[in-house]
Amino acid sequence: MTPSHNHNSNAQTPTGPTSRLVGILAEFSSPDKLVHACEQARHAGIRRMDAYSPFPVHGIDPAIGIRRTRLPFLVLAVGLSGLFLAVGLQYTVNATDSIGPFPGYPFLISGKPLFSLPANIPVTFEVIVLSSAFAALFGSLALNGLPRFANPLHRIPRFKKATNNGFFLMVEAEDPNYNPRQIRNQLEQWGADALEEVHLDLTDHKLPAFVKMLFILMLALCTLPPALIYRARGDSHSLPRLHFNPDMDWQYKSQAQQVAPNIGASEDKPEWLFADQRAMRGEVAGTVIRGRLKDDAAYFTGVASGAEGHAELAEIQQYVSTSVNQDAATAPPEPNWLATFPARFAVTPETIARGKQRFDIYCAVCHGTTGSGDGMVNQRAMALNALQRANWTSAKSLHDHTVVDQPVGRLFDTITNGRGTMGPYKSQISVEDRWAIVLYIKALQDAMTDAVAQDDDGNWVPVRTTAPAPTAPAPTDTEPSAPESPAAAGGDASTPTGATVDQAVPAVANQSSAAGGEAADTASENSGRTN
Amino acid sequence: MHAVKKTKVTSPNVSLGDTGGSLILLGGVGGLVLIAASFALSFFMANGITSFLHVYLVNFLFFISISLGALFIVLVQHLTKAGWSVAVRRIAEIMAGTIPYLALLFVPILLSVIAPSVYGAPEYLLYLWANTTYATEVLSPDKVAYYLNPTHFAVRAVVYFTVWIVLARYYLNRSRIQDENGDHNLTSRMQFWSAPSVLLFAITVIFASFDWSMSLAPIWFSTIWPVYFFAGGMLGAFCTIILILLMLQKRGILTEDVTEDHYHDLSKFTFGFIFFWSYIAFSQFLLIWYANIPEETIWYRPRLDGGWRWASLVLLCGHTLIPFLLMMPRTLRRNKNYLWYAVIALLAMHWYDHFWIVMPQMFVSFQDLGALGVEGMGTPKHIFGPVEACCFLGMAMLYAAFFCWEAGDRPLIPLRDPRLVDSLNHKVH
Ligand code: HEC
Repeated sequence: MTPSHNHNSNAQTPTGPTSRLVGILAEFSSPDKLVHACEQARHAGIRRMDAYSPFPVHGIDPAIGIRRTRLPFLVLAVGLSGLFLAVGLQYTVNATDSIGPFPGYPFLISGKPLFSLPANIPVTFEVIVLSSAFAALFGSLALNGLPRFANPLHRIPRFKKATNNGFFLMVEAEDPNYNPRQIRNQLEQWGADALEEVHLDLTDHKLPAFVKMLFILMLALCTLPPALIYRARGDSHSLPRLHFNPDMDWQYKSQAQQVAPNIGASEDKPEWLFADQRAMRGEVAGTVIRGRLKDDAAYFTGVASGAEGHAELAEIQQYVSTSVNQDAATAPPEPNWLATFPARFAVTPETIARGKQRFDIYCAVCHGTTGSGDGMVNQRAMALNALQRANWTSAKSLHDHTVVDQPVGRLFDTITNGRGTMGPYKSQISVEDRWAIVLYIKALQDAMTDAVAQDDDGNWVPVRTTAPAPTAPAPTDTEPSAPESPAAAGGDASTPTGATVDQAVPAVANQSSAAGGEAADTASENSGRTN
Repeated sequence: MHAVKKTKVTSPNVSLGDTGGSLILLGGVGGLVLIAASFALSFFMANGITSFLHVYLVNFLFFISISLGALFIVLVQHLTKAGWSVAVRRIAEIMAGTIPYLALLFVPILLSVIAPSVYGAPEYLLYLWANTTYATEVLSPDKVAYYLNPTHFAVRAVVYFTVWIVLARYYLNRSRIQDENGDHNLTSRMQFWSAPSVLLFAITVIFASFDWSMSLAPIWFSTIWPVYFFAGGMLGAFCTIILILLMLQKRGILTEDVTEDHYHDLSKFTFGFIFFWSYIAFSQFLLIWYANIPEETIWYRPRLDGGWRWASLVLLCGHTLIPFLLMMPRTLRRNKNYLWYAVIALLAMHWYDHFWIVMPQMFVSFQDLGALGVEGMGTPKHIFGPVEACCFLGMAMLYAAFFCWEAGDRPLIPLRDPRLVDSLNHKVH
């Protein structure tokens, strides 16, 4: 402490101790002398001391008796905790139903086990690295007693040389072997060029009031955001929301179903990115999207011949749209359905198996695994129908003669575009798979040729409905027959084929009693509703 | 107490002296005899010469990966103007200098690829793609056959070896010329060439690893494979350098100049590459495991099913978990007695890594060929036994002989390297 400073503090507070002796600071001219002095001091039994130098001096640590840091063990311990934390967290969150009061989140991802180590390792690794890095940083700060607001050494002008060309040893007064009378001589003997006592100023050790105020103010400000958020909870606003990143919120980009962006300078004189103002672009003329080339009309539509390519598709679309609005007069003629499987589709045991698998996934819910129309969805819906709580068209038995007699192309089209109240499946099932399903339906129908089942009264009846006698006007499928009996919707079947159908289906469906009559009425009921 | 700065090499012995000569003879003759014995023994084992060639490939990959690692270490020391490593760099230079001799050891592998087409030897020797049935029925449609065919394989091997030999020779010779004339310009020149050399090294090692070990499973591919191969090789090279230094010092060579601090830094690199290898190995595994695409998982299936599952777990524990913990403490890294055990164990794991890469593939190849209807193929048998032991010992002895031959009676430390003083006084704090 400089004499002037000492004088000042004395002047301010004449009573009581104004400063406390912290220790003595010795300056050395070279790092070697510093190391030497440290060794001597240790030799003299002094333990509480510290050395300061502008650069790391080799060998200084053992000279002043600094033990190896225990930081590595701290980092190891925290790293291991990170390991358990990460694995434990992933286990409880991913693989258990609840964590205390919170629900767990068991989520099956691509068939992997809920708790599978390989997937957990990256997260675990990151948590270990992060926690270890924090432990190393904050641990080293804590072990060094940092941060410190002030150090009495900084009040000594000479000490500034410690960052430039001075080498210092500070012996603390608290050391039991610190002898105020001897220490000066000792240090000089060990080669010190200059000595200076270090005092801790006790007069102004308090934080200045303005710092305290600032601190309190900041704390108070910190409570503002949560308070505002609390106030705004469940609030509704008429103002538009704030945009902090307008550049990101409003970009020049084309979005689906929108007008092409205006890239001109102003709103009044728009300059559209595309002249026709459409953001969504059509296909470039003369090109086909990869994988969408429908070069084999029969294979992709189920229609044998006639118009080729897209023209034919259009025809089918038109047919489908009108088939919903049943009207015999305006219904277009049936296309020339493919009677045998297209050349591109291989009829093999594998494709039948594939068809079965797809059928069980996509169709069995309504049509039942045997195709008799007794799928779970259908059973439930028919039960609701009976309670007047649903208005459901029964899924048709695929063993009904109107279906059995259909050419494969038409079955394919039913799956592709839907029919009546049944929806289209083209977006879900690939072309190849659709043919496989058709093949499987054919196999199912063949298997049912002579099959019999008991009806509600215990009579054995054929599973498969037969075509009506040639004398009766035989409809080729449900649609043409539908308009004939619009009034019969919900009631008994009144088409000429009705009798046969009525007998057989209950036995097949064997579902809720309500299903019996209604299953047969698919056509009429359907037409009744869609009109 | 403050240590006096060393200014020049102080060890009483800095070269192999007589020990070298006897080792060359013993290693050379013993090595050849053992490899021949392994070859002969294989005829009494299941799968005969095929299994011998696989074991041979394991050992070849083991040693070439170590020498390549050493070459890279030399290049990187120049690239980074490293001072600390000068005292141990010559060892790496000599290890890289053994590549020309390892090129001779590559000949049997080359023959295994060429022989079937030229001499009508057994259809399947080592590489599945060299089998004509497989090449025509499986590979051609994939166009893989254009890359994996005997001629192109041989041409590429010649290119790789040429590049490596030129690089290894260049650095070893320059460094030795400097021993004589102390010319500092040599250091600048080596440094100048180190950057392009690293590029050449990288390109050749990438394709060599594809050719020699990844192509064992011809239709499988992993773009991280070269890094995996390289990481293992670096680990092996650092361990080998430590092992050689320990052996030299035990014989009173370089006793004063290579200190605990050099071992400490070498061990740090060893530790680093233990983890680097694990990181790469896991990255490769995780992506394939997660995506679960058959064309990718085919490589892991045989290694995660059945008996090999345990073999894979051994690799996980022995190559990653245990060494990671046991190479971490500073005191252990500086303890020479400990390092003996550590590096030998690590080298064993590195060898095992190649064993684990190569051997299961033999079983898969047998099955693949069996499925294609190639005669005499089906379920192979294999037991770890004398074939492996003889082959490894033989090649290890040859490698020792190569090393001693390259080292000769010349200094094992770059006597007049401008940065030698830095290295001699190197301290790890
Ligand atoms: C959501 C229930 C449901 C699913 C799933 C379903 N269908 Fe249908 N299906 C119906 C209904 C309802 C009808 C009767 C439609 C009508 O007549 O209006 C029907 C009728 C049919 C018909 C007869 C069409 C005709 O010509 O009268 C066939 C064939 C058919 N479905 C096949 C399938 C195939 C193949 C699948 C699987 C891809 C399938 N269905 C999936 C409900 C379903």
